[in-house]
Amino acid sequence: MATWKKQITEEATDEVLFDFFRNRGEERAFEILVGRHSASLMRFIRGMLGQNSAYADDVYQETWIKVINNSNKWKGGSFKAWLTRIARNTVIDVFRRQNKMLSLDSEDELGISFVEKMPDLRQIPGEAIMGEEAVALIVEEVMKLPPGQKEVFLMRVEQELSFREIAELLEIPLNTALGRMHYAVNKLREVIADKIKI
Amino acid sequence: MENKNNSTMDESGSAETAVVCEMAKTGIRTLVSGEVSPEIAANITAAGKNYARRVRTRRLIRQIAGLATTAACVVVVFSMSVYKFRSNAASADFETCCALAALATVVTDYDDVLEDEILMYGDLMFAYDDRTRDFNSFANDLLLMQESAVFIADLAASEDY
Repeated sequence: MATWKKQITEEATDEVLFDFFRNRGEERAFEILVGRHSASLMRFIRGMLGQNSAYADDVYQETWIKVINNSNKWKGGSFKAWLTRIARNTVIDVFRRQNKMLSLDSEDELGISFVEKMPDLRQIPGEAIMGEEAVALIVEEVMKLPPGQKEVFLMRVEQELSFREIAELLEIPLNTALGRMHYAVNKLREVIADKIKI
Repeated sequence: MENKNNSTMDESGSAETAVVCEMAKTGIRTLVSGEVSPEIAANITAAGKNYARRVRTRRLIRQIAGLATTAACVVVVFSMSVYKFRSNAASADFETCCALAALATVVTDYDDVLEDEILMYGDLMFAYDDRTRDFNSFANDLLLMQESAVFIADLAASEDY
C-alpha cells in the first residue's frame, strides 16, 4: 500500500493519477488532476464558448462531472485529450441547447462582445507596449476564426495536444487537422502582417 | 512539451508560424481567464470525493466477497474430505455452498479465476452421492454475508447512496 501511495504526487502523470482515482478511489489523485488542468481547461472552454456568458462555469463543472461519471469509459491514452473531448462535447451540447452557434464575438446580455471587453492595449501609448499590443491583436483574431479552425487552434496551442490526438478527438483525418491549423495560422498571419512586425 | 512546440514549427513550415502560435498562447493565457469560481471548484471536489468513496466501498465489498468465495470453496473441500468419516451427509448442504459460491461470483464481477475454481469444486462435488451436514450453520452465515454484500453493492450503485 505504501508503494502506490508514494506515486500520488504532483509529478505523477495524468494517466497514473486518474487510474488511482477511478480504480482505488484516491481523492488526492483527483484533486491533483483538477488542479493541474483547471486553468487551461477553463481557458479552452471560454475560448470555445466565448467569455460573454455564464456558460463557461456550467460547462466546466459539467465536464468534470462527466469525467467522474464516465471514468470507467476511459480506455487509456492521453487523459488530457479525453478531458478535452468531453469539454468540447459539452460545449456542443450548450450550442445545441441554445440552438445557435455561440462564438467568441457573440454578444452578452449587455450586447458587449468578448472581443470588445478585452483590454484594448493598443490605446496605451509608447513602444514598450508593442509586444502586448501584438499579443492582444492575435488573440482578437483567434476569436474571429471559423469554429472548426478555432477549435483545432485552441486544442493545439492552449491544450497542447498533438495533431494525432486532435484528429482522433475530432474524428477527422490527420491531414484535415493539419489543414485547419494551417488555414488558421495563415489567416492570423495575413490579418496581422501589416500591423505587427514579427 | 518542447517536442510539441517544435513539431508545430515543423508541421506548419516556418519559424514565423511558431512565433504566431507562441504569441497566441501567451495572449490566451494572459487575456482569457482560467479562473474557476470557488463554488464550482467546491462542487467538483465534493463530486470527486463522493465518487472516490463509492469506489472504495465497492473495493471493500469485493474483497469481502472474495474472502467469502474462498471460504465457501474451502467448505466444499472440507466437506469432501470429511465425507469419508461421516455417513449422515445431505446434498442440500452442498447445494447451499454451490449457490453461495455462485452468488459470491456475481458480487466479484464474474471473476474468471474464481469461477473456474468454483466449477472445479462443483465437478468434484457431484462425483459423490453422500454429503455431510456439519458446515450448515457456517454456510448460512456466509450466505447472510453475501446477501448483505449484494445489498450494500446495490446501495452503492444507486444515486441516493
